[in-house]
Amino acid sequence: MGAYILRRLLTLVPTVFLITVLGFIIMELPPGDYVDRYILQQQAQGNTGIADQEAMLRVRFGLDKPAAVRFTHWLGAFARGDFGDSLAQNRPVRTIIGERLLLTFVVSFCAFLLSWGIGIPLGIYSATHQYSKGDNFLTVTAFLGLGLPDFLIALIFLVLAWRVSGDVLTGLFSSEFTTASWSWAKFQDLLRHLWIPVLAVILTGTAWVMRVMRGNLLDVLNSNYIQAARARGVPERVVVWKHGVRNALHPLVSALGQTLVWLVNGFTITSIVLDLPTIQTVYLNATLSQDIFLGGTILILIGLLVVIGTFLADILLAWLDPRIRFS
Amino acid sequence: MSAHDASSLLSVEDLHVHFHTEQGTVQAVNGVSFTVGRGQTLGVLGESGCGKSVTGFSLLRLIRPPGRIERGRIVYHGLDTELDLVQEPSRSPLLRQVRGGEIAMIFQEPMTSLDPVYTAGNQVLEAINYHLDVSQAAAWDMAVTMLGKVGLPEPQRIMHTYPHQLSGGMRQRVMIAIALACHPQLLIADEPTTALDVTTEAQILELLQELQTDLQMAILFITHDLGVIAEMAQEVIVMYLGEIVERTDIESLFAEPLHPYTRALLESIPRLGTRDGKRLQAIEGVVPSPADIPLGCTFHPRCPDFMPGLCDVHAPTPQTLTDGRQVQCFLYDDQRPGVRNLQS
Ligand SMILES: Nc1ncnc2c1ncn2[C@@H]1O[C@H](COP(=O)(O)OP(=O)(O)OP(=O)(O)O)[C@@H](O)[C@H]1O
Ligand SMILES: [Mg+2]
Repeated sequence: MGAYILRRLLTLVPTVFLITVLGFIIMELPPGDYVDRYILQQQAQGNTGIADQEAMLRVRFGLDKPAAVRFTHWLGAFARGDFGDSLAQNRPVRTIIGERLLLTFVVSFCAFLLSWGIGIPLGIYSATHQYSKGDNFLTVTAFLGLGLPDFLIALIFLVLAWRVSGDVLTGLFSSEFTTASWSWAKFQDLLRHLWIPVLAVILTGTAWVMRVMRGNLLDVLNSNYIQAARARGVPERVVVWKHGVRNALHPLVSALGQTLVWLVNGFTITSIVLDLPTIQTVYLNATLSQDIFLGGTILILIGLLVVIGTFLADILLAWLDPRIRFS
Repeated sequence: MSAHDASSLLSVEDLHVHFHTEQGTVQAVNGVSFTVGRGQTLGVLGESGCGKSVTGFSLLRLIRPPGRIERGRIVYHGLDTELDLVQEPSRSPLLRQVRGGEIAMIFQEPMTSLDPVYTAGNQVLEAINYHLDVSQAAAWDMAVTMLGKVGLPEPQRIMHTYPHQLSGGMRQRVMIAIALACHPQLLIADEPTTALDVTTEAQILELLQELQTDLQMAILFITHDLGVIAEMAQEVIVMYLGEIVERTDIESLFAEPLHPYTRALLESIPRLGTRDGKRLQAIEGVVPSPADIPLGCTFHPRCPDFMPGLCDVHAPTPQTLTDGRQVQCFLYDDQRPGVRNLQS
């Protein structure tokens, strides 16, 4: 197992490097650079003399050097935790991301834990009670959860909450708390807002996990080794949990990496709709304004998250399945 | 042989097992009755799809929805009191005690019959722990002994191996060890060698015979292979489309097969010396689907002795001949007109 983890860790190195290169290239793709845009913006505001300072601005932002040099510098700094300054906001990228990262992780992680924590037991129930009233109810609910996009569900909740309380629960805090320092009241206010995105995302997530678990378990429960376990007198409860569920988890764990991507991607529209200060909205704005250090850093962070997710999934799979561990 | 003979271990009476699928009802087993004697081997012979495995699974109550035991009794005589397994609730502790403890089963597909994520040892121990009240150390020793008994080299090491590290033959040996770990009185062997190569097949059959003598158990040996059944069984039932068409001792099966289906089966095996490149004679026609069973005698569309107006209209009933053999065919029914009696 140790050797397997080590081998898997080594393959991470080229993958991570490729992510940084790709991230950098993608951010370089749009025509023009930040200085071009900055000058246009200033000229539109009547600052006609700005065009003369073009070369000086390029030097100031380090944009005069060849791309390879800029990339190496940037990567070196990146490894030291210095992500550079946001060109648009004139603040360190690290500070901007730091403000948002915690919240994004809280929402994503809650959504992930809840959708797996609820989806797996419901899927098991569904599979072991196939075509019962409970299974049929869960099936219909799951199709709703899967059929409606999460941002739409979030909007529905938003409207419902507004009809009930009269408050529009966009953003994370009510206006009176936005700048206030942390207090019990502010925390309560946060919870009052946070349930909408979390619930919207976990509804979709739970539905997906549940359907996958149900299907997998039904397949597994029809397999020969399950009948063989019953034939040797193993109680049904043990047959389902020890032999059934453990084997049925396999495809779900393989999809763990994708699930993390989904949590990041699937959450973007919901964040925008609800005006949440998550990393996704920052990323979108950074891309729109060609803020390459900010956008590139976030892109790489998302990429790393995917790589880490896949890595964890592989370790978990190897633990679950001896055929992988010993190959 | 009467069903309640002191020497009988298991008697099945008028067993019906149907699968209620979306395409219709599949009558996989249709009124099957037979008895397995203590320490005896009863062979079950028949083409693919005739209901052999379903019969075997029914004995352990392992039929899952959409399948259902519709009718009949499966009486086990191995305990102090008679036990009708059909009447037991599906999760009853008694049924669990019977599974693996009294009646065990080995399967057609050794490659997929072991859970891939647990060691062989774990699965042998499971069988022991759910039946015997022994310490972990004692259970471990029993498991190792059992793995040795089924001819696996280095049983201590096998305890720690995973199924994918074992060959098909070795997996079937592990399955046999699991099945016999608690010394059951009846072993249902459902084509245990069909998936194995010829050399391995011979070894496994020999092993089963050794263990049978050793453990004094009865075997219900399911196969479609006449060569295998000749080696293993003293008595044979021949199944066709969910029914028993003939019950006979093993010598008479080869010397004087009664039912036209049994005769056709025997003619379909290539004999030494007659392999002159010609295709061996397979039974004419195909097995009808059990979802669409022919009227009258179920074999009549393929039967060389088909009697129009009789076989396609009336269903034959089992006839017992003077020597105790049983056959379900109008050829042997004195009560019907136009019948020739082969007994004369
Ligand atoms: N789960 C099921 N659903 C529907 N039909 C089934 C099911 N299991 C078995 N059957 C049907 O019951 C009939 C008997 O099947 P069975 O497995 O007992 O055949 P068999 O005699 O063991 O054949 P083989 O030699 O191929 O193993 C077949 O026609 C099969 O299609
Ligand atoms: Mg079969």
